[in-house]
Amino acid sequence: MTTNKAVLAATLVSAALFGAILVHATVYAPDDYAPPNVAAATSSPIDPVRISIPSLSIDAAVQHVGINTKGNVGTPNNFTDVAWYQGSVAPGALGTAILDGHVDNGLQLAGVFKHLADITVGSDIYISAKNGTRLHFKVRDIVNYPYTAVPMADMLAQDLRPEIALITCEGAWVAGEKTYDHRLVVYATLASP
Amino acid sequence: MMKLDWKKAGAAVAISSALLGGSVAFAQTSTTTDTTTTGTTAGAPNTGAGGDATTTLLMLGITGVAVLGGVTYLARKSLA
Repeated sequence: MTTNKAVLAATLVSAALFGAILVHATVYAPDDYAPPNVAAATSSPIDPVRISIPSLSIDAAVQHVGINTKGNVGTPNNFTDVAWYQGSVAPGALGTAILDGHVDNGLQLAGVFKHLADITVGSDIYISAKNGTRLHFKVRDIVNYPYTAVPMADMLAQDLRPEIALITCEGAWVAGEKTYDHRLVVYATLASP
Repeated sequence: MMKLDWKKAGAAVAISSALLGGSVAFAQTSTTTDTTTTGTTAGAPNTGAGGDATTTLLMLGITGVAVLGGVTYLARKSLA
């Protein structure tokens, strides 16, 4: 009877671990959970809630994130949404609004930006606000940076024109850092409000 | 028959114990504190988890086998 209880306990623990690992790998990425309890520090032409990239068949919700405990821009708490970094300007304002999304999940299945590298200069990107406003951006440049050399300060300082920068991971896996060794950044300029 | 059940039970317990004592390779594990301010220079976001896929699959396999072993053992015991 004691053995039965031990086996039952072990089985339940294993089942719980199995479920937790599966959910964490495919659905929930808690590192990036950043509750949107901080108001955007800059004027907000729009409060982004959705992003659409027709050429890549992307139509995703936009979460609002801050900085995580590692000092990095937060990412969506799942693999299907995009996140807007609240420390950057809001989309449509002068400056670069930074948005990011996962390239894949813990099982290497496609994340929202799996095919971001396929985007081309001139492609259309639309960002929608809660109030129904929709901004139209056009891709002007696509750059691949080593992950330690992404010009985040430049992005945040640049305020010549309203832009967005879409960021995702690319390259080879760095096991020690648990990250890919490059970041793909797609810059897009406001085409029309 | 009984001897085989004991082996399965032992394996299930051993695997579960190892899992409890070991580390589970989650893709991303830290929590987030939202301290955004204008002009804060943050590091680049970590937007991929696929590099851990092998480890994740291995952990899923081990825990899955442990669950199956445990369920099989308990089912046989209840039918005996």
